[in-house]
Amino acid sequence: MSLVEVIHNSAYAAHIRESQYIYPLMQCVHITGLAMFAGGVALVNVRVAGLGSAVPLVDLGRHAMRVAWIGLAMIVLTGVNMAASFLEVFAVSTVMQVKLGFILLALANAVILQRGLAGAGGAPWAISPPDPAAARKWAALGIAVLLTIITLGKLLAYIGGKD
Amino acid sequence: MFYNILDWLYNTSYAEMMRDSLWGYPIGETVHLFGITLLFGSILLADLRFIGIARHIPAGALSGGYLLRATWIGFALIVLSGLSLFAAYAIDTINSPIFIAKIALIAVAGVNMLFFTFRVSNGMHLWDRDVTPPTAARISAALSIALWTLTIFAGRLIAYPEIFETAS
Repeated sequence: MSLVEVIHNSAYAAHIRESQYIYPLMQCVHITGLAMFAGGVALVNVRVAGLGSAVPLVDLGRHAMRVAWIGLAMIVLTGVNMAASFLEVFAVSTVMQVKLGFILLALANAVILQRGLAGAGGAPWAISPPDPAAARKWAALGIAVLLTIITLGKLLAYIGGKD
Repeated sequence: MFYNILDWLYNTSYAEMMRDSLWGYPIGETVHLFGITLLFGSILLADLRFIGIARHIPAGALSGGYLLRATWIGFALIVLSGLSLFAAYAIDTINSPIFIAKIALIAVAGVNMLFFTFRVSNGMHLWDRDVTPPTAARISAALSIALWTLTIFAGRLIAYPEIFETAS
């Protein structure tokens, strides 16, 4: 038996799959976490690009990124369990693979923001914030990646996944 | 009377398109999620500040000049897509107890928001760096986070009517 089959057929996966409540509740937490991660990262991207300049960049950024990381933890925790419970479906899903690729891009986006906002010797962006005009295209790209992930996530309910 | 209106809504060509076309419903759901991300993300960041977390951020600038715009854009996306999704299955949806619960949660969250705006937030310009807002603001903000979180939960659970079927 392959590893995918072992996980899919484990008692744990079966428990999630067969319960009337567990999977739907995981989806609820997944969406709440999604709003925290994508919302937080998108708002910091927008701020770096120059919108809302009345709010101090580093203070706002640290606040929003803390929320985003908590959201990511909620997403990963529920996402891994949901994927495991229907692993034979998700493991062969092209939509899922593309979604995971875009998630890596979003993580890169989040790490770049985090590194500008916090560091051992203080926040690099407290001393020299990025030029908003130059940051604009990166911010737009970051937001496009987040929207793509949400779209692909929803698409999984229809193609190569599970509602 | 009410059901006549819902029946008319259900039979409009727009509702039919949302229901029967390949992409109508999935696109509506996706736009709904975009809106939730903007609305909940921005409200959460503002409410956490109002509770007293991230106190070093001036509350007025954070909320009024920056987050509120995202909240309204999110709200617009949610209402547009939400009405479209509702129209597609108007009668089934209005008979869903969890949908009614969701609408009730939104109504209470709305009243709480009005309370915050008109009774609490008039001193917001004073909630500058390192100032903790008054207790009424902190309670209202905590309530807001709880209500909007439950709204997200209720919204997702509309897709599982079997959970809420009363044993009869």
